[in-house]
Amino acid sequence: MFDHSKAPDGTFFNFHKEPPVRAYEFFKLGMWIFLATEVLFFGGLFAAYFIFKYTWPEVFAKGSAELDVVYGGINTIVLLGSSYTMALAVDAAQRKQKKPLFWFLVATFGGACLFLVIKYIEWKGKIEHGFLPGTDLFFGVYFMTTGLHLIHVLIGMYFIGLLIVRAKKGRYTDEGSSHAGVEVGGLYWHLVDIIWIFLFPLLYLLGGNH
Amino acid sequence: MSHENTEYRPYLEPKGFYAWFWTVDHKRIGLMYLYAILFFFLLAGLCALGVRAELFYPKTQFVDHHGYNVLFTLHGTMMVFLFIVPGIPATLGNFLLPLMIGAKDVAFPRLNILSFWVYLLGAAVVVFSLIGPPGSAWLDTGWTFYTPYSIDSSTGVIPVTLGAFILGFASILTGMNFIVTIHKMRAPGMTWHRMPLFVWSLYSSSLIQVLATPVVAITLGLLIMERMLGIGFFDAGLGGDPILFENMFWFYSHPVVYIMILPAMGVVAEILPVFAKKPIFGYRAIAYSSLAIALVSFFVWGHHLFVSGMSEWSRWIFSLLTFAVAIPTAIKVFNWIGTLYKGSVLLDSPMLYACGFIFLFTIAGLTGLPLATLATDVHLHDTYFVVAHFHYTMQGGTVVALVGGLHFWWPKMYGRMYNETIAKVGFWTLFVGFNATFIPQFVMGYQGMPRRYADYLGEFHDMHFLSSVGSMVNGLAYFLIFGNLIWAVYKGKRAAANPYNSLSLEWQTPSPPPLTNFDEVPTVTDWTYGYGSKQA
Amino acid sequence: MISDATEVAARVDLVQIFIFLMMAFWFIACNAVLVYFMLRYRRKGPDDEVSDIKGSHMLEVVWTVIPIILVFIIFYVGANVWKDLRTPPEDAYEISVTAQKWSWSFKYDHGAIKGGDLFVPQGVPVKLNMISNDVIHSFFVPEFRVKEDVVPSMYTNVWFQAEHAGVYNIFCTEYCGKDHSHMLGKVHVLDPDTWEHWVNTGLMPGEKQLTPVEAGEALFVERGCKGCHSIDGTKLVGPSVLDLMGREEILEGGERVTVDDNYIMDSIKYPDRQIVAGYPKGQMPSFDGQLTNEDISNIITYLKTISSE
Repeated sequence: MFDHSKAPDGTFFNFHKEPPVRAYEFFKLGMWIFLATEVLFFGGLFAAYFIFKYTWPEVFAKGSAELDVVYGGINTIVLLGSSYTMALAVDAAQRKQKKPLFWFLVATFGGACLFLVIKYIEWKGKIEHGFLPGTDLFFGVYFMTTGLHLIHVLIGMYFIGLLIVRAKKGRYTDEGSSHAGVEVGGLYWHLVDIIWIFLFPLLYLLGGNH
Repeated sequence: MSHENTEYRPYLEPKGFYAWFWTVDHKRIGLMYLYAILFFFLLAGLCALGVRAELFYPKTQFVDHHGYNVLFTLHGTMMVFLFIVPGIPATLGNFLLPLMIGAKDVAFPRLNILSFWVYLLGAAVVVFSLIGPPGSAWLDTGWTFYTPYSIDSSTGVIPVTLGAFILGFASILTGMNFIVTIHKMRAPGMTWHRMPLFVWSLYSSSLIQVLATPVVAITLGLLIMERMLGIGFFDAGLGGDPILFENMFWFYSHPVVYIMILPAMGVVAEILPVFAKKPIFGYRAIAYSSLAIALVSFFVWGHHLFVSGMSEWSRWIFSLLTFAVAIPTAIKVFNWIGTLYKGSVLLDSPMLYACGFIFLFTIAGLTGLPLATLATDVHLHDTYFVVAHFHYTMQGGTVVALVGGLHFWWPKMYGRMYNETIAKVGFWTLFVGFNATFIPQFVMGYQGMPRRYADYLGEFHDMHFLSSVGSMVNGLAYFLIFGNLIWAVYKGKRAAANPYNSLSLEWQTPSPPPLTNFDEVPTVTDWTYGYGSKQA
Repeated sequence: MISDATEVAARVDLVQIFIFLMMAFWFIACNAVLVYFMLRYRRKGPDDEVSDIKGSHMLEVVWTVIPIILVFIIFYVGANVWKDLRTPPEDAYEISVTAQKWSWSFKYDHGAIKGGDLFVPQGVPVKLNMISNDVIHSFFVPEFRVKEDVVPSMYTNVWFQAEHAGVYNIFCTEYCGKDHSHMLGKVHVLDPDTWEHWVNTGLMPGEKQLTPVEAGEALFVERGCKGCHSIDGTKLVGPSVLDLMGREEILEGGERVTVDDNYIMDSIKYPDRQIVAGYPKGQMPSFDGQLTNEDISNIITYLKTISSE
């Protein structure tokens, strides 16, 4: 294998990085643009939701009634909580407090895990009762939106995991370090949360549910 | 950056696989993108010649109906997703953007090379699944994957759309990178209104890349899910709506037309002032019209659905909005022409391409008018008139600008000059061949010849024959043009740092530039187009 | 360039001519100026006198406002004629159109179902109510300047009032697969006497009643059966009909059947019920309600004649 330490200038493992202050600006702007991309990505699904709900209100009312508001509600609270601990983590990073940063990140990760467990129970119940993506349009929309959201939760967990490992090493709190990573990770996690905040009322509360 | 006077080393110097594959240098990435897209341009172009060859005469010549459908699907899919969408931004844009704004590289160099790898992966997935495993039927849905045909089709729709999905990420990464670079990395003194217009056009097209690509990603994702799980979104049987796919698809695929053409317009705006030795006419009008086009492009997709059974009032609105996009486009054309007024016009090959672009683009734009008009579009929709119209924008516009831009910046990219005479012959061959191919298509389109027909009625034979003859000349021109350019890389005369006396920053550094572009970060004190009396 | 056969088509052409003139004017104006500048200001030497004009607010305003006004006019004129092109009169004669890969079928008021060609009375507004059995198609008659997609999920329509007796092309203009380019037909515009004769007999004047075999063969071609079922033994999308009668087929699932009249009728009406092993499901649309019983029996009679002996 090639020894990356001998890599020529301007290659992947050997290029001149911008100083941390500039990198911080870059990452934040980059993430905001990426969030705009994500919004449009889900936007397509939301558009489909509204079109189908408008065309087939009774299918959506019936489908929505099958969903369990309790599970959905708990998950909303769990996700909101994890968003809160994420915000606290960003705050800790800004104050360069290593320990709190680490534990708030772990708490966020824990929230994400709890969300997954509840989602698993919920999905399992639906599938056992014979509600599958092809059952009707409501469940098509339900599984597509929550499924895509789930993928985003998993990606978010991967990044939070990365942040935890690095926070432990002090990468964000040491002298002269940049906490851009935590901030950017936080932005992403808030987006995951916000999308759920939209999904919950649209799927669980509107139409049919009491 | 380096304060000690380091020795000049052109960026092309470290050779070998590692130095290329792992590079994060925007210039090398631009070149690698260029080689890749030109390879697919060749493949897709050969498919186009296959299509035209089959249409020399009615009935079947050498491919049956399915074979013909496969050919135009291959042509369209590869041209759109693998060649023209990355097209100018990923090649010239990557190479020039940091140079033009006085930066060392783009904002995220590693993301930049990642984008190229993702592109290669997506391209591989697309090409291998277009062809499919031996014995299976090749993809025949057309590049638009319209449902329900694409749901019923027994060909490799899932892997091809997956490939297009992956390619979307490459596009988003490039767009995001460019926006951050333009916002954050301009050299001291490089204000927004001093930026070269090519940078403005890249900025506008990057906005579309970032905002429109995710919509096609979700659309293709849903198509895959429809085929795998039967979610019913596009299935009339489950209450879904096949037309929804068309709406979502064109929500991306119309703006994407402007991803293709905006950078081409930017290239032309760079070439004109240099070869007319004059300030660009109406700088702000051109810059803002790029943004206006980007904005309006999101609200015109419905004109692809004028005869799709869409509600009558939405056709009305989309027609009106479509006309809105004509205004900024017209403003650009007038300003380009105005740039030549009282200039000192040198008609070398890059300038020929730029002026040729204006000529062809006026045809492209004006033939859009009857397509935006409700009454006339009903007749022209999905005929060869449309085929000719968009080839005038895509080939007559984007490809001509790309080739012109390559001629213009070739000395900067490789430090060598091509043969000017052959370049001029190449341009005129292309110009004649291209018009000979597509003018007959306008005629037969108006006469009612539908597109995507493997066989046609005898009354259309003359026009098809002319078009096919033209296409062969058109194809030949590219061999001449690219043969000349490739020859230049190895044998061409050494080029000076600034052979055209351009004021733009990319020419104020050696040809080819060093790895970090500039020995010292330049400070900008004037706009890019201060030609005219100052110089004369 | 292409004749127009309805009154609305003639008005569409006026719009078209108006736009073409506008296009020609702007094309010539822009490019004449471009070429003039290219030649007039051609570089003579390095010391050419060069102006340093950077732009003109006046001109920018002028060439923004004038195109805006012009496109509004075009839009208005186009939308106006289009309204008539899209709005059928109340008393239009209605015909049901069904599209499927790769043929058209037309169902008339008096109960006749005809494939391939469309027969309409001259001088009477005709409205087509269209639906697709499979993928999206598009109904296009160039001489009438009408076109509308035919989709599986909803009814769409076109209308026209042909002024002269004659024969015009029908094209499918939405890509629909292998034989898209053969999904053609003719519109026969009949004068009142011929129309009456055709409605009463199903025949054009001078046309003789077909024998069952001839009628079956005609249906086999018109309805697009031939696109997927060869008569020479070649394997296409579906099984060949050569030596079909009495052939023993193994169905998907292992069951064996001997092909007889009932098997053929069943396959025409419900194609996916008894699929021969080795052929894909879901390819053939159902012709249930698309063919009369007489049609089906004619097809069966015809198929019996296709034998290699």
